[in-house]
Amino acid sequence: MFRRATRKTLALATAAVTVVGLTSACGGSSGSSGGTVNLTYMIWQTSEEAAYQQSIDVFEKAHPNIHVTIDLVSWAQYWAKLQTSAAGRNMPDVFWDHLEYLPELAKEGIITNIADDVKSSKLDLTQYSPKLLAEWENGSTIYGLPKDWDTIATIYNAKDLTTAGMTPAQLGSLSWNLTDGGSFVAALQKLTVDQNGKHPNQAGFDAGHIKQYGIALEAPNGQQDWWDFGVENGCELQDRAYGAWTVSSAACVQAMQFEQDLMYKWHVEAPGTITNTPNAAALPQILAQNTAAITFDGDWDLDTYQSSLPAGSWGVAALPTGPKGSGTVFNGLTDAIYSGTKHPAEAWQLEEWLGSAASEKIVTDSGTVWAAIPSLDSGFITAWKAKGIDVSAFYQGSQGATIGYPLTTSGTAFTNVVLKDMNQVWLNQMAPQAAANDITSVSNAAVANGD
Amino acid sequence: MATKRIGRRVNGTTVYLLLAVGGLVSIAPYLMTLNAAFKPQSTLLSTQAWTPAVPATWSNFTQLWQQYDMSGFIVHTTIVAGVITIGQLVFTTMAAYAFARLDFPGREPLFWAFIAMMMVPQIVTLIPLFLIMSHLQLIDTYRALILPYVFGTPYGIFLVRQYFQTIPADLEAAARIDGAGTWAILRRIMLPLSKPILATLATITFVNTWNSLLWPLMATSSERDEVVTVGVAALQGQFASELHILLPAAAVALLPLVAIFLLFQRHIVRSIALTGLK
Repeated sequence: MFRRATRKTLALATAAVTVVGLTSACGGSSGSSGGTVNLTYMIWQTSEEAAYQQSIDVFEKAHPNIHVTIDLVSWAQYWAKLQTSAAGRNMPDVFWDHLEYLPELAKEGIITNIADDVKSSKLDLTQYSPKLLAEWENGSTIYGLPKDWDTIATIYNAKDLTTAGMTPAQLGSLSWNLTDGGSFVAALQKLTVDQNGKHPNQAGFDAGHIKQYGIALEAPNGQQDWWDFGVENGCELQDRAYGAWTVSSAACVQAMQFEQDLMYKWHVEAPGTITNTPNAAALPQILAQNTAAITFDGDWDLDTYQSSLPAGSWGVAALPTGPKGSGTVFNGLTDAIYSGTKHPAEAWQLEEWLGSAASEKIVTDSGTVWAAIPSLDSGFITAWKAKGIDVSAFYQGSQGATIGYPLTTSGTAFTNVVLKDMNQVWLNQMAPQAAANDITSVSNAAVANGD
Repeated sequence: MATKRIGRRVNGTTVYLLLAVGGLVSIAPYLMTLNAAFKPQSTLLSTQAWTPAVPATWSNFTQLWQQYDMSGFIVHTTIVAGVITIGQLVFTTMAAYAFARLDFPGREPLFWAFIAMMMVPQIVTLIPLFLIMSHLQLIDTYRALILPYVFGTPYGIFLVRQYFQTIPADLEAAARIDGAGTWAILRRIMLPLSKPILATLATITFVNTWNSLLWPLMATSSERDEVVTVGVAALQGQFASELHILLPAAAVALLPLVAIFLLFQRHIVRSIALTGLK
């Protein structure tokens, strides 16, 4: 018995030693060491990492006591990681923030209101696009300095356009309406071809065997499809920021109906079986494979079109105008500071740098994103002109009528229900009005419940 | 006679045909990934996934190594998966033996309580685990990746315990008469007889650790200890992904697993046949 007990103790001791050995095997975690402050900056876009690293290199040179590590986490996992680390009170010091998530993060008190820092640093907020800044301000609070903006424009396959006898300028000046579809539908009819070479407005057109659709649209929430038709039809998603949802209003439902008609009445748009997210091929791939001749997409995808389509085979044009004129979705990101950061002073220094004209110039001039400071935007156009693409349609869009990302604490509920219902609409299995009613009631219930 | 033979041959052909189709369906995604990894970026999106990569190019792989710390990802993952696999083999064997053969009060309730942990999904323990690691200041270290799993999982302990129970107790009794203690029995009798199940456990553990994304994603935030799944996942964008880098990365990440499977293939098949477990 005694021997057995000793052996057991021995085994336990061995296990204990292993644990201790293991726990002391590797280096320490982030924080400050030897006078250097380590900050983590979390971002989600691979294609933007290089430009931001370049900006941070300059920052580190000016602040030798601060070391910044970029943590690249893809969009699909970004928010889950952020929310877990928020629960563990162990978040990155500075991170990209999106309007879809801002209200919830602000409500949970995990992002810093930088109003006081702005005041004490005498930062000139008027340098930013007022429209952009307004989305991140709420009364006396401001939750981050704007870092960029994006809009939606038309991207086209140049060869398909030529075949249909259309010029990019013509494509950029189309209009649509609710009665006969307007010149937009007429153009899409020219761009849609069935396997016998017939167009949808010709006799003998076979809607079951379409070789090339005029347009393909794809968006998990509407940003690159029905929101754009919506803003051109006077649709407002909410009655005011942080207010009630008004998706079931006539103007919004008509926009959804128009897009459903493009698919199933006019047969010029690729149906949901091809474009429903999250499983559909990405828009650049749809254009590259000639599934469709044109699409609506955000400027964040420019790099992908550039790398996957031969030079000169694609281009950018303005969105068509609708019954209420032109319009596009206008959105932008900020850098947020974690309210529990151990180094608030250094985090603010990084924030101030990333929001400065010097840093935004580095990023914009590389053609990575449009700058939140309007005077720098020509740098983006120049960068893309050098690559042979005229991207000014995105800029024109930003200057006209725009719809912003909805501001609400019910973002999660809205995102879930809109994906579920609109996928049904694009499959022709749900009427737009029914979908809009459901989206509105579910999202408003979430507003009322405060979740 | 003749018709019977033909019938048998037809049957055999049908079976092989079905197996071939099944095999092709299973392996096709991997082959397409590998194929696409060799396509130049300009044709990657414009061609179908099954269009052969002609002309093939290594440029995606070069870019992968130049722009991303792919070697680092693989080294980090090998360290984590290696330590966890060795740890699980050691600790699982000890725990399984205790549950299978040692007589101590409360053994059965303890065992079933332990097994009940299998019913708790990983996602439920994610935040508590993060809190623990955060309090211990282990976030963004190898220890955060290794400690939660190195002492074995209920599944592994169940697997090995069931196998241990199939080894005749008489063998052990005979050894004990010859003067062997518990350690000697475990080392000299049980372990040599349990090679197939331990090989299975090692493979399952290594593969699971290699493939695990969620915990490493939460627990690490710098390239110092980033594992391959986290590194590859980061290449996906919000809308656009850098597929020409993502696909070769996925193909490379898969290779060690193929090697492990080929190495332990015999043991895996045998242990599945033995335990009826998959």
